[in-house]
Formats: sequence, structure tokens, C-alpha cells
Amino acid sequence: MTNAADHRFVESYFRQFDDQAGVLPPARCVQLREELQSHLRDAVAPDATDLEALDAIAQLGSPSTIIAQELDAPTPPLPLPAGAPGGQAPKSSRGLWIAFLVILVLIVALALTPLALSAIPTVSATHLVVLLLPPLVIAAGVLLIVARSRRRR
Amino acid sequence: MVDGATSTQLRRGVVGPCILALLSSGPRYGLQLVKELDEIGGLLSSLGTVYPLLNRLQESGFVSSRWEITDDERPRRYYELTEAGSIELRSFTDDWRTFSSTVSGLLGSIPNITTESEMK
Repeated sequence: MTNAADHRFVESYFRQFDDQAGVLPPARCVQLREELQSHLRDAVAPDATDLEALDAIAQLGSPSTIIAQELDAPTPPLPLPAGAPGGQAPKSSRGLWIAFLVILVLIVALALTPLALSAIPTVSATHLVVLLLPPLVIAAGVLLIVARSRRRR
Repeated sequence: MVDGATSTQLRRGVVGPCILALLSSGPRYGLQLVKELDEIGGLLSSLGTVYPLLNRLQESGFVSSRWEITDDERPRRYYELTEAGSIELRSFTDDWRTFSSTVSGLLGSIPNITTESEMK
């Protein structure tokens, strides 16, 4: 809980802390929160300017950094921008991969057709449809999902 | 302040014993410790990282804490060195003397090392 007289940035800081501190054992979470509150009450007067409050909060460190330290884990890295080395693959290249997979499914289906035809000597048009239908349905389904997810973005 | 993974690891290793060293001269509350460590300089990447360390030192039995009302009538948690903490501090002090003299000797024997502060 924050004090009614806390600066609004301090309140916001503790909202962030509470959102992220669920990973901590309750007793350690309570003690850590008390210490951080005491620190910020000393560092940020209720009538402090926004700049003063931001400066004190920056010096204290973000809730995620402090919680990572409490867990004895390395400081969480900033998310890498899409396309950066080690970052998320760019969306366009993900689309290319999906298209590649669809084409691969179709090629495998077509390649298997002669084998299937040779295994069934008296093949009819119905047999052919039954053989080709599953891979075609899968390919169409994947394309549909890709198209929908792109429209949502 | 020095950035980088190596200095971060170094700080993580030494700030705890530095807290014990400060507490060896008497009990202090959290913010007092943070301010004193900050004034020494170069030890803290951010002030808030002291509090998880205090929690850990308490869990290890090296410090104990109690609430006290200070002159400004604000309750504060005071930390105090325990007997186990004193033993740990003595042990670290011995280790550090050997360690730092070994590393300093090694670094001193390498010619033409320009430190970051000399470059500025």
C-alpha cells in the first residue's frame, strides 16, 4: 500500500512493483517493498516536482531490476528489436518461412502421389482425390491462418 | 561508473561484504547504508540493489534487523551485524587481501595497460 501523500510517480512505481513481485516469496516481497517505500519517502517529498521524482526513481532502479536481484538472477535484458541479432525474426521473414513450409507440403504430396499410384494398380479419380485432399486441406488451412493473423496486425 | 558484465559480477560479489563492513561499526537503517555505499562510489549500479542484498544477508544469518522509531518519528528497519556476520567479514577480509594483491600483482606486471580513467 502507498501513502496517501506519495507522489503520483511513486504510486505508479509501486503499482509496477506489485505487478511484477508475484514471483517473490511473500515474506521477502513484503520486506523489500517496505524498504523501497521507506527509501522513496525519504527521497521524494509529496510536493516534489515530477523531474525530482523521476530522478530519485531512476537512481533507485526499476522494479524489474530490483526483483531480478532479489531472485539472484541477471538483470532482465531489454527486448531486442525485431530483426536484431538474437531478436525476434522480422515479420516479413516469418511469412516467407510459412510460405516455404506450405510449398514444401505440396511438393511432398505431389512426390508421394506416383508412389501411391504404383502401390494401388487400379487407381481411380476418387483414389486420387482422397490421396491429394489431406495435404491440400493442410496447406489451405495454414494459408488461411497466416492471412487472418496478418489482417489482425 | 564502469559498465559491463565483469564489473557487474564484481560488484555483486563485493557489495554484500561491504555492507557487513559498514555494519561492523554499528547498526544502520537501509537508506543510511545505501547513502554510505553510494558515497564510496563505483559500488552500486542502482541504489535499490542494496535492499535485496540486505534481505539475503539476513536470510544467511549475517545480519539481523529490528524496527525502531527514529527522531523524525518514522519507523525504520535497523540492520545489525550478527556473530556469524562478523566471522564472515573476517573471512572475506583475509580472502580479499590475498585475492586483490594477487590480481594487482598480475595486472601490474603487464606493460602498457591503459585504464579507462587514464583514457579520459
